[in-house]
Amino acid sequence: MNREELNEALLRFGGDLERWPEGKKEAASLLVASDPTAARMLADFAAFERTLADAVRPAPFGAGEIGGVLQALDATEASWSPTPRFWIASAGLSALSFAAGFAAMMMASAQDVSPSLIDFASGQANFGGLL
Amino acid sequence: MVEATGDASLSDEELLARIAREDRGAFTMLMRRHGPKVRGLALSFSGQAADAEDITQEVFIMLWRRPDAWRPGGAAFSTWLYRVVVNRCIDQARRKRLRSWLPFAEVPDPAADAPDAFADVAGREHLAEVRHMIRDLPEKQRLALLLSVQGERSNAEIGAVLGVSEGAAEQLLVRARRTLRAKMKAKEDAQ
Repeated sequence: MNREELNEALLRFGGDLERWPEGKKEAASLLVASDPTAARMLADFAAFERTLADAVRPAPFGAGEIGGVLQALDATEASWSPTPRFWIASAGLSALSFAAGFAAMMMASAQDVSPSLIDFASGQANFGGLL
Repeated sequence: MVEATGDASLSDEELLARIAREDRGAFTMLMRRHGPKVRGLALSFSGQAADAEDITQEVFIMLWRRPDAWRPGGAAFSTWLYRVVVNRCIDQARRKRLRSWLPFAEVPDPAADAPDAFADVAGREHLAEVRHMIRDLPEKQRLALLLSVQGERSNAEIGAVLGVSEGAAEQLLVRARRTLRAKMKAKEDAQ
């Protein structure tokens, strides 16, 4: 590895050699150990990355921030409104209830029901010869 | 609703299982564990404290409602979570760009360089300038850099989060670092 390759690898993998692919890490370590300019390049890049890290260091996320999320959660749950999934489930349950009620009614009054209604319910009605 | 312990030794998967049983202790623990990076990424990306707040709340409320949204066996939870945050950041930036074209566009929020956004580095002008330089990077380069520097993600993970190959993630990082290094050097030389 030469200095130019070291520079490219620093830009690609960052200044922490431990995070480099094994082969490149070894080559860079050898270069840095034997070339003071390369060692300086590595040190400068590490300083550059430390500056970046300091610039974007996360702000504290403590009780106040957690409380803010919980408060927002409570507020959204208090103003809950039905979603399409809710309406689909409701419609399905209504249809099932209706079918169950109809079946129960049919069974309870099977003796009183006319044969044509039973045919209709079972899908076998003639409909005046149309089918 | 279950009010339970917030055992720090629990894995993310265990915490999510407890959240599915409406365990607020587990939810708080998950926020404590991942909140700094979720909010940090959103803040560094958008530069607006209010936007970062919104994104953080949206992400955690989504996790409370749909703790099964992440499935074990695929990407690690933290990688998946970063992907969610990145998508929200991009969506929000897109909405803001759209709103800026409207005649009744909102007045922009004060920048996050305001003292309370980064209280620990308040008054450090140099770092504020660096933050500006980072925010001037193109969207994908900015995200790749933030995931590397702040999220300490590997190049492969950055690719997974951004939905690009590892090689493409590396190219984003190379361009971002090269640009920032040149700008910082130019700044130093000018002083």
